[in-house]
Amino acid sequence: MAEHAGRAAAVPRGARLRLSPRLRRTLGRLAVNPTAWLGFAILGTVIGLAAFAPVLFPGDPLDMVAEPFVRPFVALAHPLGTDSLGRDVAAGIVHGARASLLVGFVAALVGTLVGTAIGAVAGYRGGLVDDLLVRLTELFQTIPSFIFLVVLVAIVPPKAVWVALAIGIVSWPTVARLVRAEFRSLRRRDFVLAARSVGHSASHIVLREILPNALPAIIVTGSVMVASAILLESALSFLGMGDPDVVSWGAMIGSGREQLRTAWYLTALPGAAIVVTVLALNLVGDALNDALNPRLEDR
Amino acid sequence: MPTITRRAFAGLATLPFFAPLAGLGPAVAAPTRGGTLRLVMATESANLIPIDNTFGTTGIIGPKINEGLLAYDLKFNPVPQLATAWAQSADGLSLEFDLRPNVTWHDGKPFTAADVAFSILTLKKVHPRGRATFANVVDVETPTPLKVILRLSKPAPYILGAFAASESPIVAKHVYEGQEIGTNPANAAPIGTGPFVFKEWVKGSHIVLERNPNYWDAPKPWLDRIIVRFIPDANARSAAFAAGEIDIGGDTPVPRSEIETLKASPTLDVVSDGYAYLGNQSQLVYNLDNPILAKLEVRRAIAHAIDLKQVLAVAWYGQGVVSPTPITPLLEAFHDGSLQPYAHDPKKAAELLDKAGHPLVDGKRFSLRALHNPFADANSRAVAYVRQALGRLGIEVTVQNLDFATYVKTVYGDRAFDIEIENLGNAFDPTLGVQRVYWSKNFRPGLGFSNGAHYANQEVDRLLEAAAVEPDTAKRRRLWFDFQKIVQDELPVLNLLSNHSYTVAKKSVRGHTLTIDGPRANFADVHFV
Amino acid sequence: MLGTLNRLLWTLVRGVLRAVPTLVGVVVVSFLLMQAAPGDAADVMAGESGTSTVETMAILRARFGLDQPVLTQFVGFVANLAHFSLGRSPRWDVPVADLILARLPDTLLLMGSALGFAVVLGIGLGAVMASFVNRWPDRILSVVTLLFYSVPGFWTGLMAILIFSVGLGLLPSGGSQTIAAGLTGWDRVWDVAAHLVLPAAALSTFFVAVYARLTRAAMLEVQGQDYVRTATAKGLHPIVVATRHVLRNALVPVTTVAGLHVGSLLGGAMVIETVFSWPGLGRLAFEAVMKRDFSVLLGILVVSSVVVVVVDVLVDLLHAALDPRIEGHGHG
Repeated sequence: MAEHAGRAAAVPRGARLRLSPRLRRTLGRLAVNPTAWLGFAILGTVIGLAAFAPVLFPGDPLDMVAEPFVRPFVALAHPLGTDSLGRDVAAGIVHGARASLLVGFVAALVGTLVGTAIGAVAGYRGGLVDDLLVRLTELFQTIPSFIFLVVLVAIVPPKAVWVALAIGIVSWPTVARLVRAEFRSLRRRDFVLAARSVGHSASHIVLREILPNALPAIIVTGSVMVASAILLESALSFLGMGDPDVVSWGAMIGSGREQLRTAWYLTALPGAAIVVTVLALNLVGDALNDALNPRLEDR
Repeated sequence: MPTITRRAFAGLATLPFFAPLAGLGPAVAAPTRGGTLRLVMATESANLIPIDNTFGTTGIIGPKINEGLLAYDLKFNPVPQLATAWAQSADGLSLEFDLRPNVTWHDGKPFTAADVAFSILTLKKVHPRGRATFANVVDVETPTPLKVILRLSKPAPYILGAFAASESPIVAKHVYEGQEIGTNPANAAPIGTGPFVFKEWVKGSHIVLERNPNYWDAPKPWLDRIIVRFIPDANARSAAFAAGEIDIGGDTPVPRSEIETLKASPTLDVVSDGYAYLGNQSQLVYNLDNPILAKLEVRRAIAHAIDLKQVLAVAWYGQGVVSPTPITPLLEAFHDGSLQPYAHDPKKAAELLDKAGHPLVDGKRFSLRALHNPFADANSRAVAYVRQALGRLGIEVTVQNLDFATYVKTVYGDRAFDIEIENLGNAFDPTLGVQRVYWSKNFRPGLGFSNGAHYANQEVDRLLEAAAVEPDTAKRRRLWFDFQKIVQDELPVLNLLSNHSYTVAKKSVRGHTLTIDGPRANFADVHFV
Repeated sequence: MLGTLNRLLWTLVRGVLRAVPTLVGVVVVSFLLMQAAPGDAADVMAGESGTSTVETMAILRARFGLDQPVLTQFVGFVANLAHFSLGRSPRWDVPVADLILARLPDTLLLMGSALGFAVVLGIGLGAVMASFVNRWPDRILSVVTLLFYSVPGFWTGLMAILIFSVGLGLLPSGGSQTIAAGLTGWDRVWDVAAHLVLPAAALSTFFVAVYARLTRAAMLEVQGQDYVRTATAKGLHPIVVATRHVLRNALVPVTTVAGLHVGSLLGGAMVIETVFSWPGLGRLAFEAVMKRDFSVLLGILVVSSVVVVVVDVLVDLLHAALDPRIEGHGHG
């Protein structure tokens, strides 16, 4: 993630007015990048499946609808087979896209919001406040994050939303460091000094002047965070700490891991869904990064 | 069950008795000595002797080092271990043991009656179940170094079933005396009389036990060494079996979904014998403090909605038997086989709910919070089935996955649940395993595995208390039958099934399931062919 | 020379000074978190035994000091820490330091090999990608590393066991050595290495991807800078430029991130340790959370924090040595 910090920091900065042509350039660069297309296509499909899950597979995906252990590609009614309780795997994967994306996005949102707030205040204010917040960030980076996560999940109610919040809480320090660095470099720029001399308030300067310029870097980091949150949720589920009440890919792996040797597809299919989605998110992140960082093409 | 008449065994005279036990197959010539047995275990307990605890893993490792006075064959008959003969008086108020002569502790000191007296009084003081088992023991006399007499204030009909090494281990008085039991270093590096001597324990990895060359039952033990390996992940355990890195594991060491496949394996044996001593039993506990569940109709409606055969098939892959009464069929002497489960009849369930004042409104009647003991993976599957079965009736069930500590606290401490799936085993006698669940005096919030339903019925209390001190087996059976009828009728707990447990072992490993506590035996007879 | 030494010393002093409040913070935060977790060690031990009585619970709580007020427990822990003691584990009834030290060699072995492998392979792949930027080797390797980045670790691990242990029978499926085999010398080294290969490889895949991507990015960044252009203009061989100037600078971000990973790996390799039943600190930490053995968890957090801080200082020193223009890194 530090790579995004490094690269995004090199994006030429301008006043707010110049964002618009930049955005146009960015979109233009995205449009000619084949991996960006691939990433967005996969992600769009996953989001589409999640959105239309109740139409595609009506009913509760946790319902036991058939014999257990129907193999995939054997029965037309259950194209991806059924699990050890006779629940439809295809329905699980489609409905699971909702929970997994939800966990991913909520976690990334929480992590990004907290990290941006702390990083922005630290970077903009500097001085003692900065010192304190940097210490706080370091503190949370010093605690091994997965242990921290397991402890948090042991404390909070075992609900998907809480798991997502916990993942967000362990991921904010990365964003905070990134945003702080951005703000430190931006706050001395001409357009910020100009805004300050005109008498704009600090909140105006932070939210209206600096933040939009730091946004590309934050978005890139955010997209990667969604991916890692989905991975973290699956790891928690593997350790048996998921939420059994909603179908998520992690939960499917969690309940299928016992049958790993007898029914490989129960972990392989949701595992593949995770890999494909995380891959798409990372492709999108990379593409955004390349598009927002024009220097690579200047070479 | 335990005989009350005197049965004497004298040293070598017992050999014919043991002959059929020498191996799983027909009796053959003496097994060859040698080999290292690699035993796999899922969890690592805090110490190695079940002197003040009933940890599952302690119960398996401990008996190899510290033996008991008796062992029990597969038919529950007591057979000699450190005691060679025993007799109970007709009034049930005294119990006499003749001890095996010329037995030494692993540190070379002689084993005597003083050790036995010390151990039994210690068990009475600190063992979670021993407190109840030996509650009526007022004195332990040691007239000679090889004779022990237990004096009881009231009869304790279950007591003769309690002397297995995994339940009541005999420890060395000179090692434990004058110190707090729980913190004695010997708990983690035991000194016993058993066939194997403790060598090392590398926490998180393994334990090594070496052959005891001075074992009283020479030429046993046949093995040179036992290595206990801790492998926390079930798939990793099953991979280790498949790769031939493990010789034996008890308490269903592989995922249950693989058991059927493994039964056909050319290299592995899958044995379900050797678990009756635990008295496995699984139940759905209602929280009677919930006003909805306080209504008998609602509890009965739920019972009609749940198909026990389906629970067994879905959650346990059919590995067990349906057990609709509080006493598992494993305890043949007390299980009332005439009691039938509530018929699976969702229609009747719906009628009962309507009658109880919970009609279907917008497809919903009421909602319940369901928990399950995370100890067994099958419980999460059982709760998934219950969620669906009740959902079809309009009862919305929300399921929570809690880790063990949170589960115990939520159910037995905070009582923040409506229904929960439990595995409260019967142990070897209902007074020890069943009474705790239904006795009103054992409703003690904060205490794990107590009367979690908050059931209180004076007649049930009376029956339980009478059965605890009734020396006459037939009368005691009558009391337990009456008890089962009431509980089956009032349903404070919906009893589901008695699951099988399995020992998985390489076919070349023999002599591992000769007693009712299978993997919890001392393994003196285990050998390779 | 004196200047360099001074700078290194200053880096060291600064690092240590900064470490103290961080460690205090880690202790306070961890302690508070654990108080918030439902249930305690006595609940678990009583629960595990399947039967318990109010009396046994009370005995256990008194023995573990869990019946003391929270503040007293905290003061006790801090007082221990001040004497460089991590206290005793209620569950195992042994000093926490013993438990941690017993796992440390295996943990360091796994972590060191995984991280070393990941750094070497990651930098290698990254260098290749940067040299062929936007051409097919770069494109292919980008997708491969992204795949490494996207596959759940336990999945890689379990598949590796199924293929290499169960299927091919080449490598052991778990553990860190053949127990009580009495191996010595090269036999022992070979035995440990055989047990190490799968978990180290499974653990490193994710980090290979991270370092490869970092190296690629950093090298591209540096390639555009003036002094590199100067070096190229001076007619230095491209390989010399690539290794001496470009790679050298790319090492800075990679080592920074790898330094951060040391701490998380010390206790955070839980999943891989679970899959391979590797007796490491991650598994110990997981068990400690599950069994509410909080003194052990606190001990692991303190130890891994100390390691993070030490590694941080070492990385600073390394950077100071790598690039004289860096004056201690200013975190951010």
